[in-house]
Amino acid sequence: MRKRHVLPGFGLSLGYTLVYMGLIVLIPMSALCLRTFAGSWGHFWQTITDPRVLASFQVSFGLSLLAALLNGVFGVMAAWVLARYHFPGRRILDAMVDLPFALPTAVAGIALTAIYAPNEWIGGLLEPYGIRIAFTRLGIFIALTFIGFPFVVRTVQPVILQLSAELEEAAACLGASRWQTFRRVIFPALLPSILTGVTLAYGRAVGEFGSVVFIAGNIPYETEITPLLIITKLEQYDYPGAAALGFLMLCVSLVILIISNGLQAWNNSRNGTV
Amino acid sequence: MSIAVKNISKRFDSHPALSDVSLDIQEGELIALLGPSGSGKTTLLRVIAGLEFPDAHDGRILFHGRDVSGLSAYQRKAGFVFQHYALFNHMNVFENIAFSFRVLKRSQRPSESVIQDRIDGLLRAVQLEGYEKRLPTQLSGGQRQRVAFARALANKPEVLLLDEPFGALDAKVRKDLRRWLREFHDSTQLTTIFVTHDQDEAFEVADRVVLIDKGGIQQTGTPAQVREHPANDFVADFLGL
Repeated sequence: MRKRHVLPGFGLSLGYTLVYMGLIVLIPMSALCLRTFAGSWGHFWQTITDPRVLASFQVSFGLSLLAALLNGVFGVMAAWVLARYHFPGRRILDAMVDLPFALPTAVAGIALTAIYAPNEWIGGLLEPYGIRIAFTRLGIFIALTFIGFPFVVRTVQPVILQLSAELEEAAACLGASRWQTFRRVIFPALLPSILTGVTLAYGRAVGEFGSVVFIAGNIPYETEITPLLIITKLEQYDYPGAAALGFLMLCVSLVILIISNGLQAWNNSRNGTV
Repeated sequence: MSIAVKNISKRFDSHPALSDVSLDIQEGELIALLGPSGSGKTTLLRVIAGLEFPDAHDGRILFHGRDVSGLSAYQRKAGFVFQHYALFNHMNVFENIAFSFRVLKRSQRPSESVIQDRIDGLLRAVQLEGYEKRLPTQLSGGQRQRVAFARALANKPEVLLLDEPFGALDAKVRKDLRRWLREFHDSTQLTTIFVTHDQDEAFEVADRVVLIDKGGIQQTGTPAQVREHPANDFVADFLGL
C-alpha cells in the first residue's frame, strides 16, 4: 500500500534531487575513482610514495592542522567578542569576518604576498631580523590561517549567542569565579562547536589552492602543496598520477566530513537539540 | 534567616522595574511574590539574590539585620532556582549537584566521601535516587527542576529563592512539586521566596503572599487576608474577586 504524505510532490522532488546530486556530485567523484584505478596499483603506489609528494603531504596536512588549531584559539576569542560585547564598529568587524569566505582566493593570495614579500611592508620590516614569510612555510601557514578563520568564528558564534545568561548566573550563585565559570561551564558547552569549526577550517585549508600558490613560492620539497602537485601532473599529461593524488585528497576530505558530522551529532545529543 | 528589603528602586534604561519597594520577611517563612508578567516580581527576587543590583539611592537589603547590599549572590548564601533550570548539560546529575563543592579551594573542599553522602541525601530529598549518572537531557522537566533544587541546596543556603520554579512544567507535575515544596519547607523551615504569576500556586503553598504590580507592592498578607480584604482595585481584579 502506498504511504500517503501530507506534503505533495515527494516522489518528484526526490527524483530531481537524486538526479541533480548524481550529476553534480556523484558522477565526477566516481569518474575520479575510476581514473585512479584505471592505471596499475604499482603506478598508484609509486605516485603517492614519491618523496616530493610525501613532502607536499607534510606541507598541506601539517600546516593546515597548525593553521586550524591557531584559528581554534583566536577564532573562538573573536566569536566571543562579537557575540558578547557591544561596541562601536562591531557590525563592521562582524562583516569583515566573512571576507576570507567572500574574497576570490587568488585575490587573497596576491594581497598576502603584497604585504609579506621581503621588499614589502611587513616582509620588509621582518627581513632584517632574518624572518622571511613569503615563499616559506610560514607564508603558507599565514594564508591557511587567513582562509580558515571564518569557519571557526561562524560555527562558534551562534552557540555563544545561545548560551543562556542563567547558566553563568547559576555558576556564580554556586560560588564559581569568572574563570571557573568559563572553564567548567562555558568552555565545555562550546567545545563541540569549537571542534567542528576547527575541523571545517582544516578541511578547507587542506584543499586550498588559490591563496597559497602566490605566497608559497612552490619550491619542491619545501613549499609545495598537494593541490599544486595535482596541477603540475596534469600539465605533464600524467592523468593517472593526478587522479591518484586527487583520490587521496578525496579520501581525506571524506574522513574530515565524517568527523565533522560526528562532532555535530555529539553536540546535539549533549545540548538536547535534535 | 530574616530578610529586610528597604526602599529598593531599580530602572532598566528608562523603564522603572521597581520603585521604592520595602518588604520584611521573617525567618522560616514561605513567601510568594505574585503578580502579572512585567510587574517587577522577578526583578525583586533577583535583587534579593544579588543577581541584580538596585539603583544607588538609599536602598538596602538586610539578611538577619546585616547589610548585604554589596555582596555577591554566593556571599549572601542564597540558593537560587531558575525557571528554565539552568542545569549544566555536559555534567551528569551528580556533578551538577556537586558543582558548588567542585569550585571550592582544595583546602576547603570536603572529602569525596562527604560529598557522596551529601549528594545521596539531596537525591533522596528530591526523590531522584538512582539518577546520578543521567545527563540533564535524559530527564523530564519535573526531574530537571528537582535536580536544580538539589543543586541550589547543596551548600546549605540560608535562604532559598525560586524564580517561577514550576512555570515550565505541565499541570500534574506542577501540583506534585508544589506539594513537595510545601512539605520540604515544613520539614526544614528554610526561609523561602518564590515568584509566580499563578494565584492558585501562591495561595496553596505560601504562608504569606506579596502582590506586586507596576514595580510596587500592592498588598502583603496571608492568603485568607488577601482574599477577604483586597487592598485595592488591582488586587481584586487580579484575583478575580
